[in-house]
Amino acid sequence: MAPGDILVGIIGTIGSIGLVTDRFGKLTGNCKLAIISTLEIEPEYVAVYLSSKIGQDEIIRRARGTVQMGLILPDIKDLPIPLLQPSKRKKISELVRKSYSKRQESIDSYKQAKMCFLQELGLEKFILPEELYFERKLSDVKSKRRLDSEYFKP
Amino acid sequence: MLYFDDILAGLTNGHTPTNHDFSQGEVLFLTAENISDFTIEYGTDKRILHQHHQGELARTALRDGDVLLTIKGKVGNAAYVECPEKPVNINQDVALLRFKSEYFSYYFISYINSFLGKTFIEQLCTSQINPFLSLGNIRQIPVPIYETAVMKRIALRTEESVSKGRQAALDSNNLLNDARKIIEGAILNCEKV
Repeated sequence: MAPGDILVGIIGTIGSIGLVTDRFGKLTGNCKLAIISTLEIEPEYVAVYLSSKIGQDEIIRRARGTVQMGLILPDIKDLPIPLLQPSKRKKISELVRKSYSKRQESIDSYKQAKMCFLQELGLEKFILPEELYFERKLSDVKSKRRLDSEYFKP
Repeated sequence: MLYFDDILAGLTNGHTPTNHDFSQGEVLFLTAENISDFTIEYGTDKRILHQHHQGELARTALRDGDVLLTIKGKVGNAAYVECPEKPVNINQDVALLRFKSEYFSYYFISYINSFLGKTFIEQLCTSQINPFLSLGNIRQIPVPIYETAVMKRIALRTEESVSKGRQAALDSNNLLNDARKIIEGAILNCEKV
């Protein structure tokens, strides 16, 4: 996958849409995902169209099967894409890029929240020692009424 | 160092009303899947009736300032309940924590969601495949207690970051919805290409 590729869930959860950005390094997907690479149209525009009510209806009506629904690649090729004026497509793409940027901002803020406790106490680089084994007395096991190693981990 | 037992004013978890169709009802019904570190996803499909909410589940009717902690399956995700717009309740996989008034809830959320808090929770969990943190074990979670100023600073910084994160996520969704509306509007109006 490369930045700009559009991902479509085609087995089980049909029609979930994702857009590959440059946030991650090398990526690949399994057989439950279709990867769409656009030629001339802005990928952000296509992705947001496919995730819209109209795009989702177009996808769902092509789903096949009964118990586990699926979408086959030739059907994806047949999906109609409305071509709006380039200026409008550009505007839509810009909104999508801004949305992704805000999403990243949100992720960073939550990461920051997660670090607040450790940072304030100067523990952000603290790493628990990973010991290969440890010992506990039988009396500890009896008194705590636990026999799992996780509980007694130093 | 104190234990959760020392700082909690209330601790309970919800349950699942028997013989109820969860597509019916007026009250949002949250499960562990709806709770992540610092965030609560209110977009659940599960609902219960007002009579459950005000009757058998009255103890877990959520209100502003409550803290939720996941205790079954995915364990150790804590989030703050902020002015729920609609009535909300929880099932048995989520614990409801109410702290004594002299403590800052966000301090404890920050601690639980940190690497240190999660380590202690992992230690106190039972079961391997489907981990479970009982209410009794929640009471045994050790909590470091510092000067009030330090705990307040941590709480405020955490709250500020969470608030920023929530707002940015909301903005992101709104931008995406705006983009969708433009496309849908153009198609429905048969706009020329």
